[in-house]
Amino acid sequence: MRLSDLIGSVVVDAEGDEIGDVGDVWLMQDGPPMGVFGAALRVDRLVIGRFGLASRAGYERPDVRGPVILARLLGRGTKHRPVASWSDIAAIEEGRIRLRRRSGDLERPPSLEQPATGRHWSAGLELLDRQLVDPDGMMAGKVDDLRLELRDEGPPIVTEILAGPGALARRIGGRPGAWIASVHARLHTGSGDPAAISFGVVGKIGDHVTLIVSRKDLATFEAEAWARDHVIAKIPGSSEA
Amino acid sequence: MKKVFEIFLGILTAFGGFVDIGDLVANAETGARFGMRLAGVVLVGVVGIVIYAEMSGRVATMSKRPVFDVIRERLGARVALVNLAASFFINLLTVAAEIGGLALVIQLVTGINYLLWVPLVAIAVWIVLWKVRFSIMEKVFGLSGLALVVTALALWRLDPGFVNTLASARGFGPPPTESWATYAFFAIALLGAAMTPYEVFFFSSGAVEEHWTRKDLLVNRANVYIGFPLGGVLSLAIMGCSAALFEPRGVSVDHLSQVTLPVSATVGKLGLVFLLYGMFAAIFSAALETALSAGYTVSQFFGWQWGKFVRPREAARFHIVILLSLCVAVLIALSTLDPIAVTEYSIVLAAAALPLTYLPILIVANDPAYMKDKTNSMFLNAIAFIFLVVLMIVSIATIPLMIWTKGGA
Amino acid sequence: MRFRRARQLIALLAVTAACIAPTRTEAAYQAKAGDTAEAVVSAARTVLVTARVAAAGQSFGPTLAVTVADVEADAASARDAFASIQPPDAPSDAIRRHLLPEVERAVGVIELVRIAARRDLLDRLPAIAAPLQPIAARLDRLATRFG
Repeated sequence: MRLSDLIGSVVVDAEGDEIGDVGDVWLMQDGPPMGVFGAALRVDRLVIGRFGLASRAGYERPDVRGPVILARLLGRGTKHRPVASWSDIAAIEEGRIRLRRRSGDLERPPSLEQPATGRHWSAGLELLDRQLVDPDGMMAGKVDDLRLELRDEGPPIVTEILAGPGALARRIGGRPGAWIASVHARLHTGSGDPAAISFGVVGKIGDHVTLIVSRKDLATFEAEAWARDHVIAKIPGSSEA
Repeated sequence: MKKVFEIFLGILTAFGGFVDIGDLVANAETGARFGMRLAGVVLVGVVGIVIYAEMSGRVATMSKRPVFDVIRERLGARVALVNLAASFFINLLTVAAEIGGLALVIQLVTGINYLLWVPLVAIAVWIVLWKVRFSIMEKVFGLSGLALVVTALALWRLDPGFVNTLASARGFGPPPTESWATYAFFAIALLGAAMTPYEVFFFSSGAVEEHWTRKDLLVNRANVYIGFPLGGVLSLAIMGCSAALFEPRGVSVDHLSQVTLPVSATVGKLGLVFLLYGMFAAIFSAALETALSAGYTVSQFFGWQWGKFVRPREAARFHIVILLSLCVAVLIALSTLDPIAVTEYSIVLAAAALPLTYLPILIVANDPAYMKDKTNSMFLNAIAFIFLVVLMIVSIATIPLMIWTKGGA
Repeated sequence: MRFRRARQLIALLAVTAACIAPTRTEAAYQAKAGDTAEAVVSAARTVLVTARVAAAGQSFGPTLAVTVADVEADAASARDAFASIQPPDAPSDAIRRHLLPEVERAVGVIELVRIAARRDLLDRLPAIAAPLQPIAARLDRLATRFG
């Protein structure tokens, strides 16, 4: 299952009322150990309610203040959205998630609070669309999507970063997404699966995601290597700075 | 001492590199139609580009990430993709306009039809992009653009009492022969010419290319706060020359060739040499910048390695995007659309797309996670926000005005 | 700003329609006449300045030739566009009778200037371009009359 399958799905409560769309997924770093990264990220909460520009702009965080008018206009009222934990989910269908509880019973925390142990991550704000950088400082793509592995005991964990047009297509959705996906499928004969990077090779998540392997060893490097070998390398001077 | 020299050089480079084909066309045409009545718009445009270019340079310096990179993170994949599509398209038009402009300049020198020069110019642009180091490229063409100062001399000779002319045109509104709609449309074009979106993408990527650190923030500020307004003065000089020579005669400027007349008439052949050299250099530098911006925006959206600070082999897709963009630009320039028309479209559409580009910059420039301790001051935020409101109004009005005035006819 | 090509593309419909279906009102025809006159005045006066600059040795042959050729194309296309429009009524016929010959004269002189410029006969240009002075003045008056 991919993160993009969760985000954007309509959430329906126990009585069949629509509460809203899944806007974000909060992850907690307390899953089974995964490579250098440490404990894997596990799905903790689903945040219901679309992301406004305000959240994206960072106005949920207290240290982002200006411009004041913009903050007011965009509305700091993106806090207090209902959240549902994984155990509240009764069933996941195509584009829909049914909860066991009623909308009124759901918690509405002010925002992403940091618990005493472990570390909370907002997948939408802190992981998705982040730049991937390898140990040499070279750029290796973006976090286009995340693969979630369902487990029997407990919520799913994040196992892989999905990068490249195959992954991006589904995030964008609609016709442009479908077009990108078909182009990708045609260029990568074989499976139409997106390129995946195991989360075990993630070193650190900061304002960008640092990997511990060189970008040349990643599946996402295929297209770059092709471009290099078939076009750029043929032009004289391609090895000079 | 070295620092002072560096700042001085930076200012001159920004000064000489400010004008591009859009500024030449917009200011010359406006001067002929409206005299100096729209001079204020140029000033507004200069203030706008100064504010946002400094911001985008600061964002890149403090966060080590250029603007488009951060746009996707901040606005999400979908919105950023729309932004990319719009910016890329307009950028392509601008590349085509710059290449067409260069071809026109060569035509002015040789007399041979510009169409022949279009592919040759594009190849020259690409070779410079491929081989020449970033900072050298910037400095050589930027400093050469200073030759355009001859327009100020021409203006002084045409109209020594220029300061009086400027004051007398302080009246707000079009002359009796023109409509408010056309007046507004030309104002939008001037704004779009001064505040081109590619400038901020290029500027912020350039900060990363040249590995700016916090210590370079002062240089950044000086370049922008002093260099750009000086470039704006050149724009006004072009407008003034056109106003002084053409407005009284009822001549409308539609060709680059006409732009040579004020300088020829007052400074003679030597002045013309300076003018043509300066035009070529300034437009060439703009062609380099827009071509690079094509590569920057696409690569930064997808997360590919980009930049001239690595070997081309290490940024293959980036260079392919640049190559393809130049090819498409050549095709556009070779189409039946004449370069002046392509230029006009590119600046007007650029004006319409400005809020899309500037809003994310304003947002990020306030985020301490990227800016550390160098977030915007309240004063800067206030001005930048006012600008954004103005730009949104401009953006909404552009297409209707374009249709209403039949493209400013 | 003249989106000349854009006008020819988007307004190609209008021009073709104008040939097929007559311009409804005399007012519209008159407005077009005014625009045409203005366009040709602009070209003519540019040529006059260019000729003066040429004779004073202040510019280069190729540059001057390109300048004249550029505005000649403007004037010629303005003339062509106007000439192809069907005048809707008798008063419009009169407008056409007054305007078109003057425009033709202007274009003719500009052509001669262009030919001389391309032959590098720069000091002769003012003499060749001289008739444009009164023609431009007359066209100017017509432009003001037609609004």
